[in-house]
Amino acid sequence: MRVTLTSLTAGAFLTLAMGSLHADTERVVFPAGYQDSFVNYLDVDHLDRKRVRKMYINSRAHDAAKAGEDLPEGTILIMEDHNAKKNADDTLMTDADGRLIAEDAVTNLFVMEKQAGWETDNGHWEYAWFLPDGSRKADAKFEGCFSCHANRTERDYNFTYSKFVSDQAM
Amino acid sequence: MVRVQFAALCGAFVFASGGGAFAADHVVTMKGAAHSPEMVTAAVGDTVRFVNDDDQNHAVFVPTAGFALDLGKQEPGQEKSYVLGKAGTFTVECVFHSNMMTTVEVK
Repeated sequence: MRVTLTSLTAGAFLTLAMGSLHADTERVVFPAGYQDSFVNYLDVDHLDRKRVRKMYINSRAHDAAKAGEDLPEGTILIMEDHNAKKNADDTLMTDADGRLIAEDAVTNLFVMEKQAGWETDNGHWEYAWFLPDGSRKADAKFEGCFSCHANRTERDYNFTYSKFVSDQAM
Repeated sequence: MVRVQFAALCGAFVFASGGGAFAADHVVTMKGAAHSPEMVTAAVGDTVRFVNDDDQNHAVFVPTAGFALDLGKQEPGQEKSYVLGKAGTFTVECVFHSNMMTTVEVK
């Protein structure tokens, strides 16, 4: 009994010593089939990085938000990166509205998922980085995700979806 | 002489009507963790220049559907531009500071 108590105490101390409550990325599972089942609600032209970022949300969460509810536990937001198409002179190709045109290939997949009981620096949100084949990006760091998304606590830590919903309601 | 001068004036008018010749520049300044001005009215083909006149980083971000845009981090003194490609209204935010906003109306 004494050994068990010591182990528990040591474990708790170690957890606290590791710092803030984030980055258990293994909890987020690759969202297989998302391109068919999720809603692509927005495309973002990232001119700085010459990319197009396609933003998705799972249908259940989308239905809840459209009904005026907060994003529920189980919400999954995805940022799907594509390189932007270029002209022969290496300038960025644009459509008639001046928007970038995405290449077909997905280069990276960034996922944020919200689940009850996940206590992190960003509420109940956790982040993950997947490659197009569904494997996790090795040695990925998530401090940037947590710190940047902390700038939008009033939108439940997301930059685009909550704004998308509120704009639609206007 | 009068006929030639009149023809020259007409030519100038046609040139101007062709678009692009008089595209305007609109400057949005980032200072004191605020955007100025908070409202820009512009035309298709105009350029919006974002100038970081602050002592901290900012990053222009537009979440509005159909106009969504990320210009990336701007350090103090840096300037980034965007040419307005279509009509509509969108909101410009800062990635790092949620209170910084400018509404751009493109006619």
